[in-house]
Amino acid sequence: MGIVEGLGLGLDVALSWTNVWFCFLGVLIGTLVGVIPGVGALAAISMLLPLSFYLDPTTAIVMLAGVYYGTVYGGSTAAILLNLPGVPSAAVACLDGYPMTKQGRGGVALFLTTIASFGGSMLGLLALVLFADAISDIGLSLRPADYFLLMTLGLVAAAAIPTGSPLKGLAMVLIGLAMGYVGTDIATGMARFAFGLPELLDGISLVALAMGIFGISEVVATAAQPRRKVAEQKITLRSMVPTRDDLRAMRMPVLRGAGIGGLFGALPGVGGTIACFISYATEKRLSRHPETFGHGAVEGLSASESANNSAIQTAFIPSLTLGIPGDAVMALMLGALIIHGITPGPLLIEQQPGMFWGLIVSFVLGNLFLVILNIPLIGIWLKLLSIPYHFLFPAIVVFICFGAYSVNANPFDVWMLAVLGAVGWMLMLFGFQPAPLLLGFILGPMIEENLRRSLQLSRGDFGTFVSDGLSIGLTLAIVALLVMAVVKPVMAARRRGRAAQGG
Amino acid sequence: MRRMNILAGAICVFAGAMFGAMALTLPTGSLSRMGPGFLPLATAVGLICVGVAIALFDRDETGLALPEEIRAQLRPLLAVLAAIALFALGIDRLGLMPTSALATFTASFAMRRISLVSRIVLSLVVMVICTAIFHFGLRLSVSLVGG
Repeated sequence: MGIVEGLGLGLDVALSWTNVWFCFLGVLIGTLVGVIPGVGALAAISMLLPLSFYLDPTTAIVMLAGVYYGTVYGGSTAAILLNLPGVPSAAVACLDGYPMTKQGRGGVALFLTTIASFGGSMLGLLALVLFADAISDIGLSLRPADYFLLMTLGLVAAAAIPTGSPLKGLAMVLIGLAMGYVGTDIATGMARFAFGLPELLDGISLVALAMGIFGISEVVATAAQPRRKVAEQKITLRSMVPTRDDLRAMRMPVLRGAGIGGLFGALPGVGGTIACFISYATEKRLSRHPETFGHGAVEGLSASESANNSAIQTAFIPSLTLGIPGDAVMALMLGALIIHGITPGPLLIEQQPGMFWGLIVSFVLGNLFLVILNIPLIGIWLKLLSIPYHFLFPAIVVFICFGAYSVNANPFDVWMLAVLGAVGWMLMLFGFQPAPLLLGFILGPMIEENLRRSLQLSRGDFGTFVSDGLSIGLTLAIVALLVMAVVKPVMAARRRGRAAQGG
Repeated sequence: MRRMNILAGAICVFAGAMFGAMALTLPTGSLSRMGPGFLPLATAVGLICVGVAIALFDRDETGLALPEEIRAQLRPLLAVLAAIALFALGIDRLGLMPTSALATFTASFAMRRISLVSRIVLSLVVMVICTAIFHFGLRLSVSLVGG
């Protein structure tokens, strides 16, 4: 199917009343959780996951994706006005957005980030439309060994690249893999780690795990924070009008940001946050006035927002065409598709053209909704920032319980939620990031299946992982990342030891 | 803070050892025909190694909780876990309405300094919302009151 035909089909699917409504609902919820500090896309999507089982799979994925990109738009609002990043990737928006607010240009900053976000999204989407088919074709020619290596690379990259300790990231991936083994082994039908509980034979419930690990510990951590008094901000539409210089200054940064974001978004395990930082650094280096960065430079703000949104769009490329999610949010959405009986992979576009193209068109629609939500309706979100959102948390806890319960109508999953919530909270205390765990949990069974199949085909010969250019490259990348993950902390420890001796 | 990282490594080693011990009871098979215990065992060994490395070398302090933060979080943690347990016990016995109200009331103790009236009002509001969404909206098959 060509792109034009595909978009025609997508228009048909996406413009049905149900899909328009759930797309709107998704971006609305996304903006909401983005604006409220302390609740991220992961917690929101894991809470909506059980609700999405009642929907048609296309509608479900349209809504969940809307939440995902909606949080990015919302996340920059609190970052610009209050210097509080609503989501991790919004940290870069604080750097120049908040100084603009202090200079009385907060409205302009909000307007520019919205425009930059929209531009970045559309450019990323263009890349998705252009490359998805070609990558699906490549996907069909990949061997199980290549899939095993690609997924392992994604896991190792997700563990080693983000901020924080790479060793702890690896530990979380391994714990996630371990949790993924629980249940019936597909190849032999043997029960593993089920403790004789029939409820565990189907594995740990994805919903209970995601909500336990993300939802519960976030609620607990945020409820413990002292209540913040937020001064009400007044942003009028008139104050949002940018100057002609602003618009001229943001043009190239948006394009470059979209390019950087698009590239990093498509790589498994890297994602938007890294792309934000890199595009910000790039603009600073290219700028003739690098000293303005950090004091309200329009270039930095628009480049990072554009990169972030572009990365989210291209992150759908490996997820939908190869079935390899690049980050935990994507993994959760793929988990939702799998529960609906749809296996993401190279055949998805061919077998579910309505879903693929409908999703693409819904991205355009959703981003248009977001522009409306974030420019003319910005006042509503500013009001929200002044609500004592502590009152929301008991309600969130009860919604989470209903979510876990409703999947199988079984209180067992609610008990699992409590256990996993306690585990997730404890892991958080020690600086373990929950995202790699979820990625490991979802990719684990797929990795095991592909490893088994590839070693069966090669009769136990590990040479199959270095048999051609692609597999050698992937193996080298995995080894390099692993070495980096282990060597970095060891070197840092050495340096400290030496500094301590010298001092 | 160094102690926290050593403890973090120890937790990984312990979890890996427990998991590995369970994995040993499963057949590992051969490389060309992997048994159900093969990858779990490999994962457990990996986890133990990473745990040792964390305890020995990890000086990264990103995200480590301070003792006063842990103390501040104990109350919300207990309230939230109690609310979840109450939900698990109540949902099939008491029905949707009383369970959602009771669980909200319990979870509200995560917050200090709220009047009893606010807690009760909040519980009733959440109960009404949950009834609307889960009973009338999604038609969850659980009785409104009673088991």
